[in-house]
Amino acid sequence: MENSTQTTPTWKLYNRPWYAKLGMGFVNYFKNVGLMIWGVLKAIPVKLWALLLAIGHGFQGLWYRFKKGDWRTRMSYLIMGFGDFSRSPRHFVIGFFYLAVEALFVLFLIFGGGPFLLKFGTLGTEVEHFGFNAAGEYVKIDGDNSLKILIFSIATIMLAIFFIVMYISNTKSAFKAQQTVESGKELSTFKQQLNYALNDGYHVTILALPIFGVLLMTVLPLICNILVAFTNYNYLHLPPAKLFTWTGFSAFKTTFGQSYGTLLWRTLGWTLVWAFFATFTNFFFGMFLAMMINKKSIKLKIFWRTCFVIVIAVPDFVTLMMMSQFFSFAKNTSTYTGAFNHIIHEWFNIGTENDGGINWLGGEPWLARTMVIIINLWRGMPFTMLATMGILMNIPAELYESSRIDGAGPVRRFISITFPYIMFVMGPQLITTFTGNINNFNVIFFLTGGGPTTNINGVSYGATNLLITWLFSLTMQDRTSSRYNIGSVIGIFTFLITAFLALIVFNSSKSNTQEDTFQ
Amino acid sequence: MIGLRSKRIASDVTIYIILSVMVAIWLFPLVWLVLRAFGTEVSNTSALVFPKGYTLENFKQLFPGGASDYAQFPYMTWILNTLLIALGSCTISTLFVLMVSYALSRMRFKMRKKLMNIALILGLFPGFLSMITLYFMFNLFDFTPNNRLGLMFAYSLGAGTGYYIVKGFFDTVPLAIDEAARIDGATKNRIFWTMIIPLSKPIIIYTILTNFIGPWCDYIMASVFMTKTKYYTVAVGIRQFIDGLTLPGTHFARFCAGGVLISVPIVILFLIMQKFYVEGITGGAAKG
Repeated sequence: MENSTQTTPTWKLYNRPWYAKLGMGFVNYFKNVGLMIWGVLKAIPVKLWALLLAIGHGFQGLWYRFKKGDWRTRMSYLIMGFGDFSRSPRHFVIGFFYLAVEALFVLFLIFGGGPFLLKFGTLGTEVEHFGFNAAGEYVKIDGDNSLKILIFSIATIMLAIFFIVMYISNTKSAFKAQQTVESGKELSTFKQQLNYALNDGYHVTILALPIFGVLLMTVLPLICNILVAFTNYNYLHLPPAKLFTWTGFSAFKTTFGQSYGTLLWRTLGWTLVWAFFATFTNFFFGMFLAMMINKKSIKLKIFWRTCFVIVIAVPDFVTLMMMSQFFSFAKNTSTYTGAFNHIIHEWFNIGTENDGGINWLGGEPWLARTMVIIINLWRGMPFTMLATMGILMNIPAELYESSRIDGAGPVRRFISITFPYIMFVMGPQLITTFTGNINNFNVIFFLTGGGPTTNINGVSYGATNLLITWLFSLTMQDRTSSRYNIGSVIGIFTFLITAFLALIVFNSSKSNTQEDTFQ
Repeated sequence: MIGLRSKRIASDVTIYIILSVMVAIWLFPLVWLVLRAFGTEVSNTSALVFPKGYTLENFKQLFPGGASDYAQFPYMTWILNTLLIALGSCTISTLFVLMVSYALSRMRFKMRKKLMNIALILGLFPGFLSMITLYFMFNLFDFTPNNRLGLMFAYSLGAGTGYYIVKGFFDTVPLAIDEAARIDGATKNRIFWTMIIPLSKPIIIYTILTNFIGPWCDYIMASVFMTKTKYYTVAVGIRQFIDGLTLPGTHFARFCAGGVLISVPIVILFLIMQKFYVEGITGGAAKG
């Protein structure tokens, strides 16, 4: 734990030049990432096999309990909870709970999910149309709705999995009750069961609602949306007027193919460039700012800090919308639209009134891109400053003392102590920020809306579009030209990239804890 | 020694100059926003730094009866919508986060590691991806005409996956407390509500504040869910002031006034919260 008790193994690189350390760091980093990915890939078949075995064991147990069970236990294979409520009034509540689960599931299957599940293979065939109803009136007759079929089918499948779990647990409960009675012991009372739910089984009680919420609000929509990537759901197939259906990998082919492919790689390129600059400009400027404020002889530390913190305390939709107005531009107006153009004209005499000044956010792609990064620096740097100031206060003073005795100057001290220490704490955070920036919707959306746009191969391409804002413009921005299937492919693609980066975080944070460098 | 001292003073002065310039640059846009909010010029076009005159008219227009087109921009309704949604979703999210954190921190069960890995993987998907289906799901259940409830659930029901910071805090609460209570016959349920929660006040305040601020600052989800002006949240609504901007924009000063009005409480909340924010970042990482 304490540095003083160790023989300070970390500092054996102390005398090496900093670039050697950096180089070694990079080599190790990528070597570890490679190993990590290989490890994950290797684990997949093993995990699958383990899953199959677990399912096998489940069926084995099911059969075993059926074989050894008496008639009450066997009855609960047909009527859930029978083994419980028929055995003793003490198990009424739990038995009837199982029965209710079964009844509700069967009812749902018949009246709710089942009909949809039957159409899951085609996602509906009958389009809504006008025709005569049973009473002989000419009315609009509802057809299928592919999206509804998709969502309800997935919900039914998820409920079915839940039902199977409950079913197995029901047989276990029945068998356990049987064994208890056979061994001459008393069955647990309702109060005891309740006590179990508040004690050893408390995790089930406490996790049930949150997990249900995540399944409903995150997992279900996510699965549906991933499946949309394998359909032709776009503006030509908007249910209920037109239906969509399974088309296999054709949306993937379109996305990576001729016209969209060029855009995809370009957008990916800019997304990575953006994430890199947005992360590292914030990190380095924020770090130096924190060090300046944190210098011992600097007064009014809280004042300086608060000045910067106010910028991030204002909600980002306010600051970003304001910035888009601050730098706005309109040609052929007799006066300035954007305040910044106006100000630099008045103060520094840049630009003439007739051309409206410079189009900061919607003109040249490189200018818009630079501006987005600069404004993001304005907006994001105080976050790093705040975090770094917290870290700087925790650096043990002895480290500085001993380095001073060794005759190290301020630059040396920064390279050998301050920077490694900050990197140790902020390192994993840095890659999380990087993935966060890949999905940084607000900055791009409010500032440029993805523009300036050009037309490439007949598809409109926004120079500052990130994958995530492109996804938005392909899906939610305008339903009459939406391409949900391509949007889904892009979403999956984004996931793969962030997952790859997350592996690095996972790996590096793991190696950090193993090293215990600064603990 | 004098040489060293003057060198130190010189470096201090340089730092003061750099800091002052940076503060000026960083605060300038915000000052500009506030000045616009109090200025008599209503459009972005004529606005230089200092307004020609000062007025409270822009703020008055945010209140019912303050402007002739208030029905088109019902700012106070937006605030009320956001407040209701934020209060509801904050309550649910905080409870869910605390419950999940307690279970994962204090209890050892078969699925524990698996659940944590699943939460990690779910967090990697762009949240946007599930939002599209979520929107259609709510449409299918006919939530649209009054979708404030839908938006509230969309914000809060999935909150359980964001347990990292709170769990990290619970991990630092000594297990001896639990054990002592167990010997006295307290159930885990009792320990959670009457011992762990009162001991974790700072982190609970942090959770409540982040979950309360979240809906105020969200734009994208609200913009997808809310289709009618009177159901907008403040983030979506305020954009109407500049979105339909006909040049020169005639609602820009009102946008600034609205922005200032909404920012003041949130800035105060954030300033209270910044200590926890730092702990959230540095503390979590230091523990590995």
